[in-house]
Amino acid sequence: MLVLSRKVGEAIKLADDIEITVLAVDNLRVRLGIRAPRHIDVRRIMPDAQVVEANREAAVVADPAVSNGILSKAATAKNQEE
Amino acid sequence: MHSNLIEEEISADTIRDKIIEFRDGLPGFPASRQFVMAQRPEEKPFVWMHSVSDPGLAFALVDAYAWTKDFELEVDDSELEELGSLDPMDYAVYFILRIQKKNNRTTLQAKPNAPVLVNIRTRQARQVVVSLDPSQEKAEALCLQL
Repeated sequence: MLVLSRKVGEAIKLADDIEITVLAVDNLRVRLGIRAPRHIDVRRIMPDAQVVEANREAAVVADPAVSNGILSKAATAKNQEE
Repeated sequence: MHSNLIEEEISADTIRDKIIEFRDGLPGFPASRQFVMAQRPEEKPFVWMHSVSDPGLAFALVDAYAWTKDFELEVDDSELEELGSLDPMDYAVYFILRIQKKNNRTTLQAKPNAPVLVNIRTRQARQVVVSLDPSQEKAEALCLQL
């Protein structure tokens, strides 16, 4: 990995047409401005390993025989709770 | 505004049976970008989120505001901007539920610090990570036993 330091307001350039500017920094968050041609797909990489893990645990193999009716039962239980 | 479009009434029901898109993917499932929100009336406020590309994959969700009465959410404007609008009324918020079966009991547990935001107008969705204080987290992580 190439590691660079930039101050707020400074930028880096990738290839000829992608510019990434550091707009603001606070304790936990860096705001980046990205200037790139339309066809360049810019996406966040979700870093949170915990969320990945939780989602995997929550994933349901959609087997109607198993999952059928669970949510209507849940709705009934939730309504009774209130 | 010069528009002949008649605005249909927008509510969370608007996205029922519609395809929503996670442009950044759902964490852990990068290949599944599109999901259908399936809900039978008797299942409200719960909803199944079925992957379009992987028909075997689904998640059970619950409307965050129905799950916890005092639910509040603070999200960075820049995240909302990318989903298409800054108006809180345009968003439905869900918790993903973990379903566990033990000794004939079914437990549903929410993951409160990683809600799913769905813009009900643009149908763009994203799972966001929020920081909750411990008491809030405990309250919202409530289990429902069936």
